[in-house]
Amino acid sequence: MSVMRTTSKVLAAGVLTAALAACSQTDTSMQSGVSEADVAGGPVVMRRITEGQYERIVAQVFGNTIELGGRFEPDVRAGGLLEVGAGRVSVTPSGFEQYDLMARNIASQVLEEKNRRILLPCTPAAADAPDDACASEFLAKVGRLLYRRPLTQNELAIQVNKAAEATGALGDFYDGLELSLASMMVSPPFLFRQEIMEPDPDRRGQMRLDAYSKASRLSFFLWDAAPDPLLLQAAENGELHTKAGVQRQVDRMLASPRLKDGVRAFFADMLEFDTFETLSKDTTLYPKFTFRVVEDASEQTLRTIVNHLLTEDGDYRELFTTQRTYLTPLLGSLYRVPVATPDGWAEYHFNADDGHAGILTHLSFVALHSHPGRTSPTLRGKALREILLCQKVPDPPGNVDFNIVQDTANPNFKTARQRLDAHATEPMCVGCHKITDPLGLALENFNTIGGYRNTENGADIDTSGELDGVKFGDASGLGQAVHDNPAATSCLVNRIYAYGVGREATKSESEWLKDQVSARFQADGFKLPRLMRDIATSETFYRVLPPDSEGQMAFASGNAPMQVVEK
Amino acid sequence: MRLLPLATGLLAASTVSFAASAADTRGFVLDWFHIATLSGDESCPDGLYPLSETFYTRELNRLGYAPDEIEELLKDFPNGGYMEPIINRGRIDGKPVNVYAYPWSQPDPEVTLVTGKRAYGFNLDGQVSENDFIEPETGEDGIDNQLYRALGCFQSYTGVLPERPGLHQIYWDIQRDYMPAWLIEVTGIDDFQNDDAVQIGFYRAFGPVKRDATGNVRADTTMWVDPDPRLQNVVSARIENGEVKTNGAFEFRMLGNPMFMAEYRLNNAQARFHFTEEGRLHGVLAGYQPWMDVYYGNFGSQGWATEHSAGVDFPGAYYALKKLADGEPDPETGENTAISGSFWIEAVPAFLMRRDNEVAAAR
Amino acid sequence: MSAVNMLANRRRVLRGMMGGTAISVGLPFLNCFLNENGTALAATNQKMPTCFGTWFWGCGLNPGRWEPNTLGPDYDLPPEVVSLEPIKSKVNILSGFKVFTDGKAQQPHHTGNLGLLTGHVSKNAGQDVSPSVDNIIADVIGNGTRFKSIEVTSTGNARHTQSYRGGSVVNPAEVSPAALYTRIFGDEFQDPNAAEFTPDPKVMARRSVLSGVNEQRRDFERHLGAEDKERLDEYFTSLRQFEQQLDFQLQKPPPAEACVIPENPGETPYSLDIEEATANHKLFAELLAYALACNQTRVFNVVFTDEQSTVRRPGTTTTHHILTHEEAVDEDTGYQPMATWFSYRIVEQFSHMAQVLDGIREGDGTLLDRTLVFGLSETGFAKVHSLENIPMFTAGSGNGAVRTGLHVSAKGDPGSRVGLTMQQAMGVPVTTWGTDSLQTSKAITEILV
Repeated sequence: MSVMRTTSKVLAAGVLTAALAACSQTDTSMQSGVSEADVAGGPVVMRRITEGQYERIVAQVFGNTIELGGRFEPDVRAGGLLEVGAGRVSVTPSGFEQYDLMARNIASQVLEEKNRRILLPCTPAAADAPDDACASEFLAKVGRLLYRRPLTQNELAIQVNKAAEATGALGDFYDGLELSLASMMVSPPFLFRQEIMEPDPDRRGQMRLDAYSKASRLSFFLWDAAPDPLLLQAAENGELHTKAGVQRQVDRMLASPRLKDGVRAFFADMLEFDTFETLSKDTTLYPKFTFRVVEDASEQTLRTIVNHLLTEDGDYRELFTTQRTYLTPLLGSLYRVPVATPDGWAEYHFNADDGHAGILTHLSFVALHSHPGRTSPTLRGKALREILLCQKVPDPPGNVDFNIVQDTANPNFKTARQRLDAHATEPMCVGCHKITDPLGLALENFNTIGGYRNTENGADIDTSGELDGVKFGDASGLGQAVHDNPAATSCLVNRIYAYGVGREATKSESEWLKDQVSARFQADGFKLPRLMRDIATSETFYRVLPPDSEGQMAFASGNAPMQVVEK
Repeated sequence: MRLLPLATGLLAASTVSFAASAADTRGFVLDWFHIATLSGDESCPDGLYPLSETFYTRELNRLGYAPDEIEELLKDFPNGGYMEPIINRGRIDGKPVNVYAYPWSQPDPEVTLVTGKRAYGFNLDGQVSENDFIEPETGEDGIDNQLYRALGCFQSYTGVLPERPGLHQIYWDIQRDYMPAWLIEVTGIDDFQNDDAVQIGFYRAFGPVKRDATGNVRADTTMWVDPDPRLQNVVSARIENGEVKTNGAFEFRMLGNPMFMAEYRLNNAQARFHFTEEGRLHGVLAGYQPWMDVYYGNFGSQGWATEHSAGVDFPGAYYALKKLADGEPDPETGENTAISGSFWIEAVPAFLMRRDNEVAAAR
Repeated sequence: MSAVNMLANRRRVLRGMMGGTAISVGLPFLNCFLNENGTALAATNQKMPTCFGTWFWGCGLNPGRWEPNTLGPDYDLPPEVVSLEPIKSKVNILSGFKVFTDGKAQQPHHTGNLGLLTGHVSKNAGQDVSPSVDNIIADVIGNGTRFKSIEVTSTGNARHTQSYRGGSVVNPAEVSPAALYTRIFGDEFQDPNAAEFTPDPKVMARRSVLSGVNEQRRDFERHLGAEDKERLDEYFTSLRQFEQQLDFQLQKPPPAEACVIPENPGETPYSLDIEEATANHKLFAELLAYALACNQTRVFNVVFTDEQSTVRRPGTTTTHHILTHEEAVDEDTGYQPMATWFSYRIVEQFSHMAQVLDGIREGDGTLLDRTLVFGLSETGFAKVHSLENIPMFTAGSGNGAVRTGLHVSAKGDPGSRVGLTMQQAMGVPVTTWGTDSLQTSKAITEILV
């Protein structure tokens, strides 16, 4: 007979805030090593807003009903993050075409009759002639939200002028205003996150981010969104230049349900979920895999993460061992488990001996890092190293002589382990492949679409291996090995910092992260909100170097090359 | 009966787990259900029944049209002026009537019947008579499958697995998207090869089947069992050498789709099936159906559109079904009201969930 | 001119429009419709514009099965290039060229194509990338059309592009023929052969309003460091190009005799399934051909399979790429049968592309005659990632700039010679191109006229 457990946990936002406020982590002298005063700060990087951020800003400013009507040129990944890649890209001509198309489309919806009643704060004197006062009021108001700072006098004058000009040509106030608004939405202050520096009055000769730039950094970091009116106000009245002011805003934002958006955006970036868009599996071999599966798969992992790290205020490392997750009936058919809801999401606990443990056994990991027709232990192992442990796996040598692996083309090799035997025995291959293959082979119970299997082509699957000296027997053991590996948590710390500042950490920042932030992260039990608070309330997060200064080139790990891999 | 939605929002986040039980359970959702045919050279040695253009010509002849008139009416076949006279080719008191609603208002065209010796199914009446077949799988004699005999020489009713009889395949594929799915559950399995006491349940689900990327029924989905007491078809069974067989006979009641067969009633039913390597279920379900239900469900309610495109002489089928009906005589008239028939059942694995969250079919 | 005066001028132009006067006043770009000698184009009997394109695939071909045995004209067609037969007289086959790395680590399935297209091999993937030939050429010939260049990929992934602008900027590729159709032939398309032309006042207004962005350039740049400023420059280059697109929409385009508006192909699935990729490629070929015929662009870039050639046959577990590494060589035939299946399909599509261009008649010749297509892969033998003998083709003569129907073999020469030849054929004033051992000043005189 089956047993049903009902668990119902609601963690009130207030409890979380209280918990955080109770841990005052401002005493940096507690730890040895680098103190914040010694960290030099790093360069600012102008980042193009990502697809997700663009969509969210439009929804924030104009409401959820506005459709975009265009497409985005691909975001680029660098240092493992789209957010860092955002600091390397610009806008191509075809990208500009699409931004213009979307801007006009959005502006036209904003100013159409049914919306303008709500979104326009004034009515023009005449509907067919310019009205600079009304145009100015509207453009200043939305401009402050779109540009994440107030428009300068010159900027506003130009936009109002343009609106008037266009109104003159087209004979309609709203058409003219629409084009002016559209031009703002293709302008650099909207498309790019420019971080402006000013001299730091508290540290002679040093620079700091201006208040609006601080607000942006905070807001995109914690909520993956443009600053809301309260945060903009805090920027305007100087609050963000005080320690207490920053803490107040950070705590407000951490207590908000919008923290979920920020955490989801970060992990979707770190776990490379954007590559799901071009993932395809062979429908003849794997008919269960439809596009809906892709959507549900990334959602499953993000829900699991949000629940564990936010709702449960759990230990980050347990993401690799937790058996609790969320499934839809569709996912149930892929994992081959029953799902206790006819539609929507249901919590599900895998059994201890089910082989499913942690996000490494989620479809979002095993299916994403596999070929369309079969698994790839090498790809999975590489992904584990690079994404979750921040360890670079060298590229294959250019002049590999594949004649030496002639035998592995033997179709009689039944399991992946057998097929990859040469990786493990040929001297030329072993060096790199021993870093990746044993990890991926532990996941061989999961086929290319995440379904569990005990055999491959009739032969038993051997999932034993080791990770940096720690042995394991199966995927659960692998999850435990990752849990215990210090690289997992230090990777998270470095990644999330890079995510916040839009570039990889400098040498001194890295030392600070290692000595101070990681140590506190560990002392706090690896809780993500505390880590985010630690970073967001630090001085380092806002300390910047002037452009073209010497410190600019002192990256800790060097620029990470963009990955050229088969997906 | 409304199912309370679960697991949306923070409140009722229920978790499901199940302890391993001593005996195993397997759940399935039906993928295919259609008449079990065994077409080949021997089944209709005099050839298959001709298609609609031919028998429409014959009917127009019978109604008194001249050859050149018939040619004119049929020249744009399947479009054309023939439709009206053909649809209303029945005659009651000399007046034209819709022949699909009143198939007996047309003389019996005496369609070709299956004369082959073999057919799938069971010896439902326990007797061996000259109307019976020999079972190709078990070799058993006395197989009652008059449904196959009546329809098996229509071209749309031919097929031998992996091919399916065309018309039934279409009917089933269309209706299953709009019809709550059919479920099969086998419980109490101690030994998958030989077990003298297991139980089979045929149930109905709350929603239709779910499809996968290739359009087939998706495996390993969670299906919710409709607890309506009228739709619980439970029968004891045994397993012999991997083949699950019902003990004795049972009554099978299942709701279908009013577009075709609103209700399936198989009396004196028997079933056998096995589990394939991929975990699917393949087998045969047979029993006596009211033959009028068969006529109206498959033919009478479909009309000219299906008759002409599938090439099945509907009144001919009516007469064949009536003639070959072989069970449940009417107490007053003595005429048989039911006809024996066998059906393929093919099912894919599913998790069967009941409202109190008892999960069957742990893997 | 000060901002105020600029505004005043614009107002004058617009008022002029409303009053119905001629629009040629004040629009600065009429020159683009004239050729270098200042004579009008596209009037009858004048030379049609020259076009250039690249056509890329990954994993090369099998050595020994594509290089003709004879040199020069009337070359034979080995098995993997038999599908070039119908178009052979307009195709050159270039064999024996290689990419030198000068000791830098090779990035498999990347170094080869970058060496051939940009003349430069960088130390680290994704860094220090030079502009590719198509962009260099587009800078010279691409300014007179609505689109400076158009990029497409058959693989369904916009990141599969071989059009490098330099730095880390690449031109993303269109993945959907339907989307490309809308972009080129949708509402904003001005039919060159339409009898009437009225410039759209809304487009004029857009053009005028957008100029406000450029006016603020100095303000936007003020706070930026060197690298960020470079990226903002790139943004303004793109803005300028877009403004030019609008400018073209405001002018009556010169008539183009072969311009026909194709049918909207409708939505199609796109993925790495070779059947879908092939179907999409055919649609793209037609759209690009008409884009060229209708003077919407003069430069195009096609990716048929991505660098690693991860395309695959439905129902199989392995991709072209994996097959080239893992499939056993058939002892009788000497090659990998399933991997080689892809070689035939790839060359078939290159041939198809050329034939589609050749199928559009213009005066005495065809569209292909005034186009130069540079077909290339990234390796000479995918199994071992060889950078020797990388397969390259050209199709079309680019208005007589290039001789066709020849097999040229230059054993061991740098493949940048081909890129140099393409540039010179298209009128780029370059004598030396490429870096380190890829630096060359030797164009392929056998084909360069």
